[in-house]
Amino acid sequence: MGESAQAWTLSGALNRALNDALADDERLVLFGEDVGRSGGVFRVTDGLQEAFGERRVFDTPVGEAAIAGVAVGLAFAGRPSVIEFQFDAFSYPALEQVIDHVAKMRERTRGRVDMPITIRIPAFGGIRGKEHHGESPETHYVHTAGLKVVVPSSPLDGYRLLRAAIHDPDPVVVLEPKARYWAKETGSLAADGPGIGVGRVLREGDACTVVTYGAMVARALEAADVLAEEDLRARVVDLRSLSPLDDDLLARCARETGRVVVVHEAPRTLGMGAEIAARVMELAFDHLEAPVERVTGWDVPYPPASLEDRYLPSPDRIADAVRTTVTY
Amino acid sequence: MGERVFSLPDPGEGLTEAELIAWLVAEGDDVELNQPIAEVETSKAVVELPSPYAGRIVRLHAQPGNMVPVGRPLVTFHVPGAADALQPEGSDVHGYAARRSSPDADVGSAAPSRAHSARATPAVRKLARDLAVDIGAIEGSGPGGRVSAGDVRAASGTWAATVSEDLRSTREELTPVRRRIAENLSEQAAIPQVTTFRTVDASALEAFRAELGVSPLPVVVSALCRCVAEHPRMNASWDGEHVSVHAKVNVGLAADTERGLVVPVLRDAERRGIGELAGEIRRLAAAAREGRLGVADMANATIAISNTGSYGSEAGTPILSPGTAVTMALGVIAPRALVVDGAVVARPACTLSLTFDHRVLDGAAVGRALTDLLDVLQESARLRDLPR
Amino acid sequence: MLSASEHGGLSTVAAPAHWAGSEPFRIIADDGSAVGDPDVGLDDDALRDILRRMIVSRRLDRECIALQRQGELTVYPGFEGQEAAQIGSALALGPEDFVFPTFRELAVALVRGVDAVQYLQYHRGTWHGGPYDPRATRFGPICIPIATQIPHAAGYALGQQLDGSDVVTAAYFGDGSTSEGDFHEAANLAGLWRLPLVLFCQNNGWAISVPTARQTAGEIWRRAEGYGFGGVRVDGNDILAVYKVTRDAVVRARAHDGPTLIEALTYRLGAHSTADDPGRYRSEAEVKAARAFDPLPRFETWLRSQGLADDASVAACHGEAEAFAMEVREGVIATEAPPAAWMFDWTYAEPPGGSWAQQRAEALGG
Repeated sequence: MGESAQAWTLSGALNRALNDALADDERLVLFGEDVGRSGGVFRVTDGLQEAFGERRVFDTPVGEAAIAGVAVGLAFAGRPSVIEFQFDAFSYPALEQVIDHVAKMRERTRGRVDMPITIRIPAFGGIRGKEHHGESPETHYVHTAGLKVVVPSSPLDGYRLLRAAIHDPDPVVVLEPKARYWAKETGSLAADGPGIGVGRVLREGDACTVVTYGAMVARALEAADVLAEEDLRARVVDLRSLSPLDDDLLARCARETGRVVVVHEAPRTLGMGAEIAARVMELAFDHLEAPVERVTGWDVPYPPASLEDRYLPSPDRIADAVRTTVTY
Repeated sequence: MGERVFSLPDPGEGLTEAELIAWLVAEGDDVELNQPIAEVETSKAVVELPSPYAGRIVRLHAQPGNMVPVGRPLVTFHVPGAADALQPEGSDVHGYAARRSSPDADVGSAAPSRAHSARATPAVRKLARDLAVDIGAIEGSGPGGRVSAGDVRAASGTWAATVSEDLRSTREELTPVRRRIAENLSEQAAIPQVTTFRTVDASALEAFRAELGVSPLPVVVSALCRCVAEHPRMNASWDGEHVSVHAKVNVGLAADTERGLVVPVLRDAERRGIGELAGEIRRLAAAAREGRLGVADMANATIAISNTGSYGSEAGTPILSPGTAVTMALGVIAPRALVVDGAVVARPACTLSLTFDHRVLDGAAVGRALTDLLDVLQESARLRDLPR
Repeated sequence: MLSASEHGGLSTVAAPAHWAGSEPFRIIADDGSAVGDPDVGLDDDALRDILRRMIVSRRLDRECIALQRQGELTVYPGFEGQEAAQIGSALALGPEDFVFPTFRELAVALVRGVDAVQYLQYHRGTWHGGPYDPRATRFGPICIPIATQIPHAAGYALGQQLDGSDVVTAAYFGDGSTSEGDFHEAANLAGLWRLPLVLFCQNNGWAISVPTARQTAGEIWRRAEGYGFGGVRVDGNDILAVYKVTRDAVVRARAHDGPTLIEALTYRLGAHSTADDPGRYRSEAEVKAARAFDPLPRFETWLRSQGLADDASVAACHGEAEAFAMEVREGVIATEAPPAAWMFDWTYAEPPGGSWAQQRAEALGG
């Protein structure tokens, strides 16, 4: 923090966030599979074990339920933790612990025992990954009361969101878009700025609002560039926080533009788009000029690498959806 | 001696009824707390029910072989030393009573409204409600018969009614920009607005602006800023719940371009001199012509001027520009016969047309403001007092 | 009322099937005679107190079943027959040690000083988890999802290890739990990191309707070897034996000598819960036979043989148990539903606005 601007990758910015959080709170521990000596499969925990020692940064055996369960026990012992599930689909063995305990323990103990647990999950597709390495698991977590869920879309915001997640007394799931780990952004890392629950407008526009998050933010901006050449100014909203959602921002944008397109990688049915469409209807029904469009992954298992481009929302699909709503 | 009614509790998880197998006690018997009083069989198990009270059995409410719904009274007790309970089963902490009843109520179906059969977006339906128009009675002109905002306005009489005669028209497809302009204008036209007119003796104005080498517009903008300082409510907006009076004066300048009407905004006009205003007006006009205006260039106008004189128009009834309570049209400056000191003389003159939001302002207040504005525009000394 | 006369002396019936295999550690035989060294470090008062606790716990358990039948509690899981396993192990823990229970450890909770009415709010349906303060009582929230509390215990033990404290953590679980991945994952960690942890399995023969023989082919205590630490099989209905092996395990853990897996052989004399009908899967004869191994008469007989109990002292225990059951009954019935706002108020430490706040207002009629 406070250093001069430089080019950061998301992986590097997240690494720095973990480093700074470990330095700030000496009770914080970080653990998971291959996070120690290897520095994590995406190098997000690179060098942390060396810097903070094996008592604070350590490898666990393969076993995600225990990783989450141990974090719960540590919280009882007054220790915050950052845990990592190596890939989206590998977070599933821990769902029982996360849903039954991490999310509910505060309620179950009538507020006596907080769960200051940050769950990091490299997630989503777009990296020509193997099977089970391209899932969008956000709905499972967003649907679980007691959890907060954030998705950074850029290095500088990744730093800010991860620091906020670790600082939050509630459990926060941080879904890190693998496809953006190596994207660069120049600037200074800072923990202050918009927190959890606040979205941001990345591109102003009045024709339509494109609401998205994670790796799809970059694609939505690309689509907005194409549309601008046609004199269509699409507003691009990066949600950042999927739970809680920024209702105020959704309401304002839907009212101002009258048209909304939601973009996500997850399959369409009961994806975030369903919730956002419902909220837009609740918050801005009388202002709608067209039905909410959803540009999403399909209701199929995540496809093999060679078909990935036919599955993920492309800038073209996003631009088409905007044209559809504007000419409705 | 108090009476207590014991109703059948849910003996399992979410069971709704149980069959009474046998009574283990008879009416008139004295029983101990937790003494087995009945055997009941549910779809899960046969269980003994222990007595919840020590006392005498007054009444058994079911016969062996009966199916007893959960929550239905089973036994009435006399409990020594207890007051009469008003309700069976004091606390009902588990809400059996509420859960029990689920009558298959006949939900009456309302006659389908014609309004629901009309195709229209929520925004258009809202407009129809606001204008008290029966949207179901409108034949939509949009794709698939969809009712547009224009259709609603036409039906409300806001616009001329559609004519059914074949006029051998050619239809022009709307560009998205044109469509948005139309929608914005329709929305703005729904505001209760009034236009008032003043004739300006432009002799002093013409001399002054010629001396400065600028068009009349920056001078008028500057004079308007001075007027707004005295009459702040002219620079205000209505959001449905509040009137916001703005300290900053952002002047929207309606400009006609190839792409249609655009309204670039001259920001912080109150802080600029006439020369700077003129430069800014030129810059915005060029950007508008070339289609280079960004969203920020067109947002947050607080008051607006339409230079209708630039195309020869003498007076107009401008529709309020979005976000403003006052939109003014400046007519062409040309020699006119004016009465000065009782004699008819030819003088350069123009008409100021001023439309105001009647929810924000009333006629008298606007009249006073216009008088002050004219005092500046018609007096050389006052004009020279404006910031250059 | 219970007394030694209920089964009277040495049983001639076969022990429950799941007790077969390795001979468990035992101090008092089922006829009440000592077969091992009964000096486990407990003085006479402590021994008398054990019988009192067993009688009080059993009486309360039965009261809870009655309260459920009367509609005052939701489904209740009884523990009759497991008093020795629960009380013997709980007494071996120090006051700062921390217990992570299942949903059947009311007798452990009482030893830990958890208020019975607070505990029963769980079954009253007025709160989830632990309405008591888990940190103050050193007794974790009641845990229904099978075996999920074991990783919590491992995490708590790890916390103690990191803090350099000598607090020992105990995880309670049943025979069915040992089939869950969470048991394996936690036991693996416990061995790997030599956590100060006691893994206490009450093998009561039944996971609802499935007997231990259909749950696992091996003996549970032997699994410890695979995880790299010690395991022990104990007669879970022999309270002195349970106390002794747990005490040893606690001493080892406190001395940083690693975890221990204890398999306490016991028997669930009642139904899995008040919603269960064991008649569908086990015979009356089996239960009747298991009564012969009831831990209460066994310990009472031995205590009388030592001159530490007589009719008067036993009657006094029953009197206390009766009074306690009535006191708890009144407390339970007096417990009302909490305010609806509580559905929301503990969900987040920093509650969201927007839709969530809107829902809260809607739910509260605001």
